[in-house]
Amino acid sequence: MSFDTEKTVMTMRDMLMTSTRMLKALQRSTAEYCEIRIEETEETIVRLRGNETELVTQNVSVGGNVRALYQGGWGFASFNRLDDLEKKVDEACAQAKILGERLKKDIRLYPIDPIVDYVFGQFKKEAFAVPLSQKMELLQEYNRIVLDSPEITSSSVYYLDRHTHLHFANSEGTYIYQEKMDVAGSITAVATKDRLTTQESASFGSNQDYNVVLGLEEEIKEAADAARQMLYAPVVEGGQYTVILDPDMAGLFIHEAFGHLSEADDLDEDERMKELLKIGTRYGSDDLDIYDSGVEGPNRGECKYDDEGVPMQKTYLIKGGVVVGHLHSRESAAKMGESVTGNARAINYRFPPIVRMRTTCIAPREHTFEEMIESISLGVYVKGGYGGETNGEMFTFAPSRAYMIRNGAIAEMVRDVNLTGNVFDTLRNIDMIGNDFEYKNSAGGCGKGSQSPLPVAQGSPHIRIKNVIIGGEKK
Amino acid sequence: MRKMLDEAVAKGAEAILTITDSKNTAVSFDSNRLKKIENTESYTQGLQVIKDEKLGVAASTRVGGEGELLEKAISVAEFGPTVSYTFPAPEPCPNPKMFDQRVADISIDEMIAIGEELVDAMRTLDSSINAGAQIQKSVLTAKMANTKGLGVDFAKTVFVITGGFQFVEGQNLLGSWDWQITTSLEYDLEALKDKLIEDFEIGRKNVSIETGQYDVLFTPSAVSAIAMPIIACLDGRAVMRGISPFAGRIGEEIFAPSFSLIEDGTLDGAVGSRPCDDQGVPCRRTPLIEQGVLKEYLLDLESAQRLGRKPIGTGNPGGARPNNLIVPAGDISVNDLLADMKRGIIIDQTMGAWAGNPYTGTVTGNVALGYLVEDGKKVGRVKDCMFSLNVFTHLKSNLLALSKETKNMGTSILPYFLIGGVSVSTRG
Repeated sequence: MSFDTEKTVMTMRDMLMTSTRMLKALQRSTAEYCEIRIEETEETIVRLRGNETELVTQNVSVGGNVRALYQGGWGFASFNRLDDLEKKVDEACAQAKILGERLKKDIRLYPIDPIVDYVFGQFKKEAFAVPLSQKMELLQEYNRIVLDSPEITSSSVYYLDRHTHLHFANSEGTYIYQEKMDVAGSITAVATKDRLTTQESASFGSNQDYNVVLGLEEEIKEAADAARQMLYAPVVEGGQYTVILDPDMAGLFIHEAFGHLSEADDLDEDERMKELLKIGTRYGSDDLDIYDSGVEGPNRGECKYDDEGVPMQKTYLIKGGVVVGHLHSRESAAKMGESVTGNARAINYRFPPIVRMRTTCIAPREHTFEEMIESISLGVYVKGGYGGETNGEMFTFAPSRAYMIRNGAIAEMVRDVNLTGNVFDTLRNIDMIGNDFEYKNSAGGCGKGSQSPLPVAQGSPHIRIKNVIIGGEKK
Repeated sequence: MRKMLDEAVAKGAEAILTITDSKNTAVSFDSNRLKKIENTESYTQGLQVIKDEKLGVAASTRVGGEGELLEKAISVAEFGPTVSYTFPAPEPCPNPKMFDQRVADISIDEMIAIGEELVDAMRTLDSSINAGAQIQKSVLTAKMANTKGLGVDFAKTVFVITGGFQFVEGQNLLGSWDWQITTSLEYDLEALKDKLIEDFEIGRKNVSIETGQYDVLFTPSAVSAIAMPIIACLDGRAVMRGISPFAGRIGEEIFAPSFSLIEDGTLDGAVGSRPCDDQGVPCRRTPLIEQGVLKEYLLDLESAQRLGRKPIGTGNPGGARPNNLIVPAGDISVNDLLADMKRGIIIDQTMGAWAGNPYTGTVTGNVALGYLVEDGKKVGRVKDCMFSLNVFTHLKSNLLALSKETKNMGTSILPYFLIGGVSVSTRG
């Protein structure tokens, strides 16, 4: 293929040749539906630790896949050798038939009119075009800020950028070219004293602007100061508290607590799960609106089309406390008799698309932070989403830093805080939603099945939740 | 391979090149039925170069992209870490048994039959259960060569059976899963079925517990979650940077004498075994903790050099990575451990236990699947609660027993751990 040698500039001629090859190969399909994805990604990764560079690497990933559906069975073949697309179409169709002939199920995909589109990246500032020397200089400067901070003993700096050319074609006549960018990373300050090590980070992420990497000096100094303070912070006492979540943490909470539950590929063949998430079921107060969107702006994971060629959109999951929608692939939408939402995503060509989130948000309401905190006699204020996990009914999430709330005011910092809750109880226990909405993009990503990390983002204002369980020793 | 290495030498660099070619086939069941077959063919070239004492790393899946790969590795080396090592000259490497032709030969029909048997066993439990399974085989070949004359190649097979279910009653969701992973075609489907059936039968009854301290029997699956701080702190790079609390403590008793931990990349049949690590150092068997005493760190060439130790075959360009970790078994059966438990908890599956600061040793997680034990019997499922312990202090002072049964978790082999005084926080 011509873009084997022309790596950064894709000409229309290249695309036409690729699309012609893909559409020609698709003509061999003997399945009810067949699609091909071809992808080329170049990535740069930098890791600094302490006062040293730990790793600088540049990787090229070129590959593709074919996915075919026949009588309810999916065949899938992924590959790095692109020279025989026809053979791969035959392979995926043959696999789908092995399954389909056993299953004989009439599974339709939600109908989408054929789309032909060329989506060139309208990037504000291309991360992949910035010379490595400039990136290194900036990251080393950030690293110096961390290491020059009081009581900081080490650091960890992580930077990633990716530039992707993605071609998608299916047997219904769709051909879409999308150019994508991803930039993300974190700068972590590490403090160690008397065998206790603590850490706090500043992070960044965008799907279109390298400028998010710039100007982080103050945030880094604040993170370093928090890591230092944490050395002297006591371990939180376990128990049940009223908790205020900052926008970052609230975004992580809603991703774990309700976003995953709304992914319809886990609902569409399970009658009881469908009942649990039935449209019209109340799970929160009138103030609670939750949505997942691929059209918010410069967030990681958003783009024009998902990995089935469906336009991404904004999808409300809960409105006024009541379930109003789910996240769909073409298969799950058809099975549940709902519209597609553009949520079928794959981390790369080695995997088939499954239902995933994009930017998951709690919509803002009218409360101020002061209103939230003033009536709490004993509670916890958690900031910065470190990570979370769910199994459907329960979730956990850990903040990067936390403070006790005493008599209506923020009090001492505490460490080793990990929160848990039952999804359904916790949504009902959100009793105040703030007016200070923010998006959060960070270095991590979402995991589901074996596909991790997938770029996603979150958005939320501060929220207040009653009766949250915090792990730890009870004194 | 030699051509690229010769070109590297001509450009004044040392280099090590790894080429892996793998084919993976997976048959998946979801919602009680066969759903998809996936074939993944993967070809990757990884190149590390050292030029002017600086390391550059690049990888490519582009077939025929050798020139580009060398160019990238050399260009990033300018900004890469200064290293104090050179790539090693060839040494005799172990040849662990890790290829089974039966895995390569097993047909899709046979894989489907295994999955059907597993899903059928779960479906019969209740008409509303949502059962899933995946049967997966991989065949991998790898070649490795460096500019000092190293030339290693090996083939490996991996066979994985995963089964699980989700069961919804009102707003109560019960889920469990288990897996078996080997390099051969040896598996015990009955054991997998028995575990899932038992989880379904006992897990449907929820029991409440009060906040407090409990004796907890962690299953091997839960042990792999709570052991993460130990692995992070054994990392030679964390020791080198002074952030590991294990730094400077070789020879010191840091855990209970009943606890040992061995790194072994030479073990027959283990998924993580291989002739040499990613830096070309032969794999070997190395006690990391012996009867509670810290003996060695996980090392790559850089951390070994800086800490004045010999590499142990766990290196990769960015640090150390264990091959297989083994905790030697105890001498009491799981049934006897349970029988002796007056009132305690079994924790099998955890959530969020990874989300903490590994260097403090504190592990806090949700009990995703756990049972209350009273008078030696599992009486019901405990949920909506969190456990918390400090693995450094609990494995020194509160490690009550290790089971004589172990489970192969893929790249670790672990017994059950009975640990006293684990904090559990719950509602109220």
